[in-house]
Amino acid sequence: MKYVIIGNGPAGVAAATTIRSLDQKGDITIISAEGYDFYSKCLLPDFLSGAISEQQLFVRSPDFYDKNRIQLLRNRTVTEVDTAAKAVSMIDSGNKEATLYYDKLLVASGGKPFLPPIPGLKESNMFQLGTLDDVKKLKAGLQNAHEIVVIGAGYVGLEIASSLAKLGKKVTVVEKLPDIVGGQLDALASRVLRDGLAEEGVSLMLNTGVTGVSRARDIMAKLFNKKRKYLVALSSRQEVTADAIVVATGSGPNLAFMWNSGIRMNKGILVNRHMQTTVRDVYAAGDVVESIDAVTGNTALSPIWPNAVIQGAIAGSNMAGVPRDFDPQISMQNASEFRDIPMIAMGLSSADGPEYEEFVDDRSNELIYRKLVLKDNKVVGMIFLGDIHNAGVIGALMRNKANVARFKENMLSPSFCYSEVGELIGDA
Amino acid sequence: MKRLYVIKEKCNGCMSCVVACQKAHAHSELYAPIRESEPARIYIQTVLNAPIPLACHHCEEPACVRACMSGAMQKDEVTGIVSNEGNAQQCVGCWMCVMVCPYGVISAKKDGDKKVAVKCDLCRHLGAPACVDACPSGAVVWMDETEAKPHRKGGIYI
Repeated sequence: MKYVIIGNGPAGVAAATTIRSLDQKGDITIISAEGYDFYSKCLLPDFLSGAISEQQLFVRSPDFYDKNRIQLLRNRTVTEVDTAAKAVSMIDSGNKEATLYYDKLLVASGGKPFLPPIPGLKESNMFQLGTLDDVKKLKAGLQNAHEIVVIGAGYVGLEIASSLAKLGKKVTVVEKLPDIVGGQLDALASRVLRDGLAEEGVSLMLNTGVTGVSRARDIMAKLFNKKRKYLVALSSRQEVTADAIVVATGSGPNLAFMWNSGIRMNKGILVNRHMQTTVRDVYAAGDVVESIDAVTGNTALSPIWPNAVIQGAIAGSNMAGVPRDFDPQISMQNASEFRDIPMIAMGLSSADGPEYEEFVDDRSNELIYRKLVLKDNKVVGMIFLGDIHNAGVIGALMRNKANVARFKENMLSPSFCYSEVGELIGDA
Repeated sequence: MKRLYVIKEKCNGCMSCVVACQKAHAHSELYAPIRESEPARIYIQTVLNAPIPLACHHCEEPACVRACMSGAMQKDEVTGIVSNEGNAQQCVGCWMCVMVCPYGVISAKKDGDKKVAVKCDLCRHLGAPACVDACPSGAVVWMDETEAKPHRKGGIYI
């Protein structure tokens, strides 16, 4: 059996590991567009700030591929998947073409950062944050940069901004939306985070789009042959000067090479509960797929690490011939920490109508704020900020759509615990 | 494989397991200096006025291991112990494990100027869990899975 996996991230590696545990003989090949072993993209902001070393980015031990007899093809960009011929076409860094045939294929090619169509942006001293190489380039480019504009105030933009501020840079974050992290927090929680940013020396401009980027007119620079700055023009008619611009306007599924495959796609690749696509022997997992959200029941992209690993493991099991269903997970969930404030948010951030209930523990003066959103006595959203204990217990109740009527008044009290509700969660 | 089991009817809520856990992980004979700084990895929870000890289940397919984006949280293939300590990869305090643990048994610990997640590691540095030795009522026990199996319906939990 020949297994081919496109993508060397959490979904691809989880699939490969699962396949190896179930099939000792099969050939497993992972195709990676990058030149590295499996590393954690979530840790790139910490690498940028110098909090962790390059070595610490790697999620598995160096002997992982050998030990599991997984062949890793590095620096290969997949150009096409031919599902009739069961062939994957790719090019290497020297543009040399090659074709690999599969019996079972997993598409786990992850996400790709968006580049907004802002005039002059592409030609400027601009950095994106998709890969380790991107961040290395940014790290090198920062040496001579003092003023930095970050476009986008999502989790990534904010983490990068905070990392840059720690390095002593003057950072301005520009966000088109009226609030940070795109509505994943409510007004109070995002205010606590915003206050933290200001104290870190990051200035934030909300409700502001970038309309263009151009070279600043600087006679002194011209005279002394110094590097000229860029002018970032904003929709508010203001201008911000920048030595470098970091684009963090989110990302989308990396699946351009799939358009001719005949596989059904929406925003992401559509899969069944076996993580199988609409074409036999082709599976998909991670940031490229749409899966069922445990809270809404609808399909959605779910670009977060834990779900990618679960999907990869389920896909791997089915590819190796051991049928296993994917249990719907919470698509919108995130854990983070800003300025010593730990934070976990899942599902809805606020009541969405009269049929919703909210329970709030507001100690925001102590930097603690916790909130639950319920609908029909089921938890559909939570924000835990400052005190994240028991977040996973609430998450399990959310996933299981447990009826919490009996104890809902008590869920934010310090005495609330797993033992009280264990029968609704069961054994993991 | 030996596991930690709880016979909740026997627990009297004395907290000896909690104190022993903190001392064992802080490598301290004295309790007072480490009481605040070393979080316990076993919890005494109260339901209907009865105490129930709770610690990590060292799951077969641990959600925390799947969620760990630094690679620090691993399940030892031989001992079955799930821990983010003592591995090549280091915990960075991203709290993904806290987010996904359905038992709520992972906490944060200050480690210098960093914060890391801590959880029960069955005291692998000691060879046996300190809480078991410390329990005066036989509520927290350490026994082989096969030995425990016939008793599980009779009141052995975890």
